[in-house]
Amino acid sequence: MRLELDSVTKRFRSLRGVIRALEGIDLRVEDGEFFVLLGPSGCGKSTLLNLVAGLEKPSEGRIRFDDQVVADAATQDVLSPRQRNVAFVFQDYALYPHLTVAGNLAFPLRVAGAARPEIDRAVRQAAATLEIAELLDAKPAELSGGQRQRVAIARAIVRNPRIFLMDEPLSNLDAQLRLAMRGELKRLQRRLGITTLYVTHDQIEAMSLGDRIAVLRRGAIEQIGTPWDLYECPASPFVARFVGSPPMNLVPVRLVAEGEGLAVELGAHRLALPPRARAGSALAPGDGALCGLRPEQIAVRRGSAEDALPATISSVEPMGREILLELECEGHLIRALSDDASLRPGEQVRVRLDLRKAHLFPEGA
Amino acid sequence: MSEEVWRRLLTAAGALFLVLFSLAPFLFMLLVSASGRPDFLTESVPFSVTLEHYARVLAAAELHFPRYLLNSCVVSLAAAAAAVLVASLAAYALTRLPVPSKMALLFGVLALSMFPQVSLVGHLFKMMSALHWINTYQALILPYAAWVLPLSVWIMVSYFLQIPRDLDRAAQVDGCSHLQVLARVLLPVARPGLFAVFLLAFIFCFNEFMFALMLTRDAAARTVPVGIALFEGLHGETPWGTIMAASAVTTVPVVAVTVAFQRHIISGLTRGAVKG
Repeated sequence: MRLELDSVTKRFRSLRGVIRALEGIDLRVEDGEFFVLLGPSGCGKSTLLNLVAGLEKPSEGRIRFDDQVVADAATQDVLSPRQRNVAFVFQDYALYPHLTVAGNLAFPLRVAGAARPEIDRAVRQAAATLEIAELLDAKPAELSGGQRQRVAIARAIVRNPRIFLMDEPLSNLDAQLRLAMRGELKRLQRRLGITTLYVTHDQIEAMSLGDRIAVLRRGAIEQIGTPWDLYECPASPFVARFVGSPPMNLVPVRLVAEGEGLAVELGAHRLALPPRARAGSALAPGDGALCGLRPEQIAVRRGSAEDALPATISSVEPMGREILLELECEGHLIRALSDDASLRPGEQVRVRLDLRKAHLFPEGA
Repeated sequence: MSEEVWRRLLTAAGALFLVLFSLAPFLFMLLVSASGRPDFLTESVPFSVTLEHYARVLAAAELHFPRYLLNSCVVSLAAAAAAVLVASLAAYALTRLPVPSKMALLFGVLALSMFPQVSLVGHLFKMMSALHWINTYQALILPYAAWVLPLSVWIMVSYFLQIPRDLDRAAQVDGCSHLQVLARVLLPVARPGLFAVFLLAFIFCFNEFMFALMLTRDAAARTVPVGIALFEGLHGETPWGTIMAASAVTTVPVVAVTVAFQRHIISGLTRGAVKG
């Protein structure tokens, strides 16, 4: 199913006045796509999910499932969740505590008034898919977190929904289980081919799961793209900082003319800007800018080199394969990755910035 | 003796005192109800055991006691059931629906429950007279249900507030209407609260005196508390033995309902709904 949102806005009235949770959201999720909404807490991503589910009504705009309008603020035509046939997986699982696992899986079918044999067949099938067949007689209280999560997902797939809505479904699992479930969830979604809208604040989860990702900030979409797009061409300093781990360095610089092209001025140093880094930006000499560099684009060396900047190591964090360094360079704190395990805090080093892949954002963006 | 032993002794003594203090009137009631001479404490007459009072209470037609008991049970059960039903709906609206000024409503309900009964009973009498309902079940059931409603609403609201909102959002997504969310998810999950409210409402109504005194006329609708209070001896004296025997019999349905319900009033039923 294709999901379309046309300039959807959601406002909440509270004691402190009107809160704009979402502002002019335009979104198109293709049939069978795994689409991730990524953003910090309070950015409106859960509200967006509720709007699609039918748990909230949009204040403005329209939501369509294929060609069917499911919510239209102008005509006040809003289908209930029941009429939309969506499935929701909640962060806290939201299993019915008074029902067994089998009862939980059967619940949506019973409410829909399905026949007994059909319910039994669907429950067995969903339980087999999620490998929880032996838990069918247990109550949710007897299950571990991972098992509860499986039951919640099984309940979502049991009745062939038009769309899966997932609200941080993995964030209550421990790190190892989360990794395993991530892979499983992605395989399951591929196999079922059901359009999925997945909310998370974890950029690694978003990158590994999403076919495409929308980054939300303060109720508006900051950028939509494939994980690779977001990583390679962040549209704003916000996305640049949010996507990628460790996060991108953003260093305030001044642009100066150098021959035909431009150079960035960092403290007393002047670094020529390769043409590629300037592409698409309307920056001119004299402008201030934020220069974005990923930690892997900063090379740290001992000794002296002409085109390298002097820096002091302020902290060393081993991360396994690589070492994350925090460096003091021209009054700025920058992070770099290195594989030299002998570097120590306080050491004087030289850093070489690879500006070919640098991102320049206008000052104040 | 060590401090530990002292502490245990004192705890036991305190518990024993509390038990005796609470049970003494009840034991005295049983004693008097089974004694041949209710005045056995004041005169030097020997205590004699008899079941005569019980026989009289249960069998004597002029006392109408079995009928009072039936009236009490019917009225209390109906009023408690009505209160639970209305309180559940009210609590759902107050905790789950966009009702304006919820807190004002809740405190309004609480304020209403503070009217002394005596200030209401006159108006109730006029109202029931106008409806020609005096001496009927409904004359008691409606005021009783209304009277226990504030407490019922407050208890149900507090139970519903403990149930995570995601649970009813899940039920809505699974296709439930509001009423189905209430009936299929919230009420089963809030079962301890439901039974607690029912039990409290039942006991309140069962013990109620003033409304029953004013709104009933004879055995057709009169309840046990009023019936017992109006027992009279042959020569106008107070028939203590009969009163005590009747009181003892009256505790049976209350104890029965309590025992039947208390195993449902266990907390922790929401365990496992969300991560825990």
